[in-house]
Amino acid sequence: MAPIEVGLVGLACLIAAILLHVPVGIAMAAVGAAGYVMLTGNLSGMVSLFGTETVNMLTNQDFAVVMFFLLMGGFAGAAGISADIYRVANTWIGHYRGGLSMATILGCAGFGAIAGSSIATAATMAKIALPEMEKRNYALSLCTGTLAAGGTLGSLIPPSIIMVIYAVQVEQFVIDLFLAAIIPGLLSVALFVLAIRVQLMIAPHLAGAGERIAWRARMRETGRAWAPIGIIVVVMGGIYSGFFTVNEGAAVGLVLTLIFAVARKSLTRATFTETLFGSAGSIAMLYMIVIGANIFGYFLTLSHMPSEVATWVQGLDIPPLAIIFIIIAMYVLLGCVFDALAGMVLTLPFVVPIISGLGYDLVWWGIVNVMVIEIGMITPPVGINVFVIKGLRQDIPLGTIFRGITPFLIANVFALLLVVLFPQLATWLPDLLR
Amino acid sequence: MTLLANIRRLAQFAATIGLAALVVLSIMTMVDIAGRELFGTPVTGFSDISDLIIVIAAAACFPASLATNQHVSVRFAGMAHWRLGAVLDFLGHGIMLAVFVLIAWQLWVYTIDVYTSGQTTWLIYIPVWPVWVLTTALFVLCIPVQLALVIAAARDIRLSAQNPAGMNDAAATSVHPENKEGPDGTD
Repeated sequence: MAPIEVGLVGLACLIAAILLHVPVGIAMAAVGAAGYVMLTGNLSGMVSLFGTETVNMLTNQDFAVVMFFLLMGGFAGAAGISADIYRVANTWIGHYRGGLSMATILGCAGFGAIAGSSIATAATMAKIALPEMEKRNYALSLCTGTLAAGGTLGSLIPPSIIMVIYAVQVEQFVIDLFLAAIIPGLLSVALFVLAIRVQLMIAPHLAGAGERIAWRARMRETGRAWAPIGIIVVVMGGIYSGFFTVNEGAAVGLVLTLIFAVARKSLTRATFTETLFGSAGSIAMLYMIVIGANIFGYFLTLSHMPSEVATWVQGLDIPPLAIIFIIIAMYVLLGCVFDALAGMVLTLPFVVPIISGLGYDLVWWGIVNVMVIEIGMITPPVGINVFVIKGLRQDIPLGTIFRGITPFLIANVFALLLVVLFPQLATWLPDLLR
Repeated sequence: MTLLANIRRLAQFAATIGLAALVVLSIMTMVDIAGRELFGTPVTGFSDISDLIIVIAAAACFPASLATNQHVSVRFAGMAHWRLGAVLDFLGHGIMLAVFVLIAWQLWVYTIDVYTSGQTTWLIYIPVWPVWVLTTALFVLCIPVQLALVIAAARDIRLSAQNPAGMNDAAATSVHPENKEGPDGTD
């Protein structure tokens, strides 16, 4: 069999293994190892791959930042930082019709600037914002749609764990990705708020308006939220200004969040242990996915499949932008059956040579990739954020949540289109500060 | 308390200690930054210590992740039939066990290599072999944890054959303590 044929068989086996309950990282490692033996006949080389790739990842300092950000998000949730951010947003815009929904979006963005994870953002904000919105008789579709969609901002607003994984896999500076995500992140927030406004113009009965809060009270409430605002400013300001490395910034953020949680007496010994133990599972899973992807990557490189696919695509008589849209459509379809993060890691060896071959910026593509993943997180049937909300409130039908998501999905697609058509939205800031 | 329960407690303990070490490392990082920026005296060899702690902290998470079954798997095929689902779970856990056996074995080989070559860190020459012994031990701990899941999955297949009606409950409690539809808090 020609190497490329082995590659195709390997890819089919990988998809089959994943669909047959083998965990994603393990499937990539196992199929990649088997394919390696088929192509090289080197059994001892295959066995040693498991050691070298594990050692490489465990000693990878860039990837280690994932641990700090996951723990920081865990402690931020335990410290009640999400509630602080939500309260501040609410005092400023809660008096508008649908103000609580808009405050939820801003709260998600603020918490996302500490947590770095969509699921953590959706789950944490839901516990705070959902009861408040229900108390004011907001339609459940609007409440749940806001939370599921707002949660996705956790991945797009830096720091972002998905961006760290992308940066490590594609060998880009994670700080460039964090910078590149600022404008698309703010754009998404603005479009989500706009989606709420437009929705309420069409169907005003979905939500009412709250009481206007006096300026003095607004300032007082903002002052009370000095800690989360301070942590975001210190961590992201320190990283962007070059005062800290990304790892140092994450470590500082972790300590500040921990100190804040302890000072507030919201961190007991039990919640401390629970946060550590809860984060451990996510950390190991991410490590295993990347170890598996690297072993599979060896096999793919040996099969010459990524380079063949890239050459074939570049030879097509199709405008580059059309190819980009085809790849995006592929990701959306993939997101219907696959976990979005696993889909990204799996396809990067194919997609990255195509993107760079077409002359596009890989930092820009990283942002586009994260935005596509965001869409995958709220679209059926594997929209994970939808299931997070559903998990917290079993009594709300899935149909209601998906109905509530539709306006945000349109906003998400619009934001993605803007970033694809105007790459400067992502590349301008990193270019400016490089 | 059963042996399995003890192994799981050990996995939980390892994860807690490993990540607590990461918290301590974060505090040391702040001290290092303060020393560097305020007094021009960074902690000597800090990056050496940091590199070693990070390896242990990451490795310490693996046994716990297996004990709580947190690795993402796509579970559509098993929805077609309960017995198919149980068999697929068994196979998935079996392949995972094989991968962890290979990783543990190769880490041991690497540890011996590091020990015999007398490898040290770059700046303050700390011998690195103890870190890799500990790392290997943590991955070896993954094996009984995962083996327990394989045995539980096999038991589920047998139980399902004896009592098809109770299959879903048995599978849900013994093999899938966690929701595996998506990555837990990671993306």
